[in-house]
Amino acid sequence: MSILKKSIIASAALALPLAVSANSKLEKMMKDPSQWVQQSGDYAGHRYSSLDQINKSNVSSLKVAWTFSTGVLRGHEGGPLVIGDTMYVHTAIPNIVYALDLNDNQRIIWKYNPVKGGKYPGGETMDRVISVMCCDNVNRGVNYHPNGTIVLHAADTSVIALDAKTGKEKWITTNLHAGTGKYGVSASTGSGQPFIIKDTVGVGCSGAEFGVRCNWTSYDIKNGKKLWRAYSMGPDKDMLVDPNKTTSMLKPIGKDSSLKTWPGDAWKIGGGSIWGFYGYDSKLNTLYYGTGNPSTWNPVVRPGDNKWSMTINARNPDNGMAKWLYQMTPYDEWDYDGVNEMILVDMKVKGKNRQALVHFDRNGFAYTMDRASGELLVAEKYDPAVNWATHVDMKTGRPQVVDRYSTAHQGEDVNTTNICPAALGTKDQQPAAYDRLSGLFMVPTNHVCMDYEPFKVDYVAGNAYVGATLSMYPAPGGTHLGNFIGWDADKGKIVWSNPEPFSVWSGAMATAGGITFYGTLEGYAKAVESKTGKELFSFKTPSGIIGNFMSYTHKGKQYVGILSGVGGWAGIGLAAGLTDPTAGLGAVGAYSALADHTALGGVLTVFALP
Amino acid sequence: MRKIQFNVLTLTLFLAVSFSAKAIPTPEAVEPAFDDDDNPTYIIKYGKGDRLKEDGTPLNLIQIKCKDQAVDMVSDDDLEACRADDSLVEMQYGWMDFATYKGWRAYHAECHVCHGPDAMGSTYAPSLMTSIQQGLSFDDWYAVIMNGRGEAEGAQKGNVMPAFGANTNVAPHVEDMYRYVKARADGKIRRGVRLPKLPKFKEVE
Repeated sequence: MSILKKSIIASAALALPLAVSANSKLEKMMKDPSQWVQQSGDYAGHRYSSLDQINKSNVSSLKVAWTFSTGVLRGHEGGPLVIGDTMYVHTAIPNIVYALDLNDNQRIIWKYNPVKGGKYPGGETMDRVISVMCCDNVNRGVNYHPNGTIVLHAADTSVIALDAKTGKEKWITTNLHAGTGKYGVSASTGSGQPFIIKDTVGVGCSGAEFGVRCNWTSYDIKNGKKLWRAYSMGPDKDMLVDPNKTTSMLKPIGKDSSLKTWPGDAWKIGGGSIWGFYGYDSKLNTLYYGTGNPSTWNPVVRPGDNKWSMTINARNPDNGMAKWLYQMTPYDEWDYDGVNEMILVDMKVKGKNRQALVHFDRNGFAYTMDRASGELLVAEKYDPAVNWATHVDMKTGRPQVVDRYSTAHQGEDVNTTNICPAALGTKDQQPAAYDRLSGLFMVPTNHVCMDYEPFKVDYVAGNAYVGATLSMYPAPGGTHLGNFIGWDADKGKIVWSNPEPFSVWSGAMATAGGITFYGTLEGYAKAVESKTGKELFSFKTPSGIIGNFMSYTHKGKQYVGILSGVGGWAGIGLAAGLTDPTAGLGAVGAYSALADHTALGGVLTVFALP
Repeated sequence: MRKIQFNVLTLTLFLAVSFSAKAIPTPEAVEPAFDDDDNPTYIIKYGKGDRLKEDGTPLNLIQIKCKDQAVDMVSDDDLEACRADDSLVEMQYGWMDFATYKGWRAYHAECHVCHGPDAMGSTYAPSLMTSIQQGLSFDDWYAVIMNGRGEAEGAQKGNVMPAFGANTNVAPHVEDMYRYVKARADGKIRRGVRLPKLPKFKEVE
């Protein structure tokens, strides 16, 4: 045996225990409520802080402790991290990252801007990247690896590892291609968080409105070397599935499970983007993420189930192999991306203890799955307005679609009307929280319906590829566009529901103080009692809120932080108010425009008790 | 490379064949029109129940007028007055020329993703209806869509209008889209208006 081979074996043997320790170190940090070390707070996506200094008896006296302008306009999704005494704040394009010294009046320790001379590291200009970002310049935040790295997934798909202390680049690798001319690849963009597991960082991809065939790619945190890539659709080897071992609804998926469900080569521009919030279970060693819509939005050109778009993926993060898949919306006809967050909760479901995964899908159904086996346990509507399907068949897992609301059944060039929910979904990326005290899920929702007319479009690599027109309006019987609800995931029932004038587009956070925080598009930061939904606190921040709440302590005192900065998809449809579906004069003008309430501006607001 | 080219061709053929099988008939032969300065114009015809849907309901509601103005452009006081007095309100049923219709659809296929439904703007892209009201000419409209517009050309910092000159879903429809947005700007088409599927219409004697 050569010395070289020996050293490879030795380093492989060494790598294993190291990987385990990095992982457990990060999980240990997640349990420490004084820090907020990952976008979702923890791997389980609970968005729960066990701090209780701010609680239901004193939250009404909450005050602004300090604010910080990000210097960037446009939509600010995601939220800041706190590691020790340093806070990390990200922005919309150009994706600046700030490190703030909490010990020194939030002095800027370092500022990193990936755009240099007008260009992103991947070589595309910022202008080009902005022009192919569907639905605003958002970024859903940076993440932290315990080897002292802050990872940024920039809009041009570059994955950038920064030294957490100095902001110096450790390595940069450009995941995909935001430019033009590459079939099924061009116009890929990055908006989802980079996800840290052990000594790897994984990223998804955006671009289903541009005919990108999206994928999840895992990189080595030490050097940015690519480890594996799993496509959302295509041949089995591209998707990293085992026809005999990978299951769906507890049965093996079989050979060519994806290819059989697309006409011809349509899968090569099939979409299936991944840009939400993900989950990881270290005991089961399983990564959970959802895939987005098949492209185009015109279903008539792609008859079939279009697997595995709209699918919950459970994968081994070491090699990418899929353990189980569950497709929520086979043959999407409404743009109900399956990307929303995966919340992992050990709970009783129908009297039995389960390792559950709870997922509030865009399609209006809330799913409770067994996250070890992929068994479907509960699928119920979490907005009574949902009408495109009557129910989910629990034997087959398929939604029972109503012809009247099927844009494929109604056909091309036909305007299918009064579909609920709208393409925004009953919930979009705005992540829900799990309140460990009451066992309820705190869910920010949209209450919007739509007319949808699909038609033929041409695909040109690097250009938009949408193929439907739509108009949106409030669900029947009301003028409000959103609800913030308490959800029982065992019974599949709404426990309480607070109407909001606009879609609730911010991530929620529950705390041990018995309260839950969420933000509104007009810019209100609110706190409600988690058990009842009763509003206890409200403060209008400088701009509409589409960011996610977080909490931490500094010198023993609890703080709550939120990014304002209106935008995102919500900022497109709602800016001018919505159309009046009944066309009667009585309702015209009843739906106020978001533009009358708030304007652009990225600002971090941090609250504390006086 | 060769294989990929073949695939593009297959897909294109597939799309082309299916499209020609389902072309939309025009309501009547209305030639796209131009004004004295060669700007494209639209034709909106308002019917009075001379054409009905199969179920007997009138034609598409294209605009609601309150005191002779588009209802989404009147003041709050006028709106109150119209709510109180039906005689101040006129419901305009009818159809638009096919070019304007195509413009509506092309607009809502691509442009509304940033510029908002009904050409009313978003949190970060201007309302094109307002831009035309404020004097955006067809020549400028054409140039900006074809070539794009960045900070160097006067766009707000951080905002970019991409170039659509190479986009076959947009470039051929520049004139038609101008017609649609001009009709919106002139208060001729209400928000959310659609041309109903035409084969379902029948002439009434």
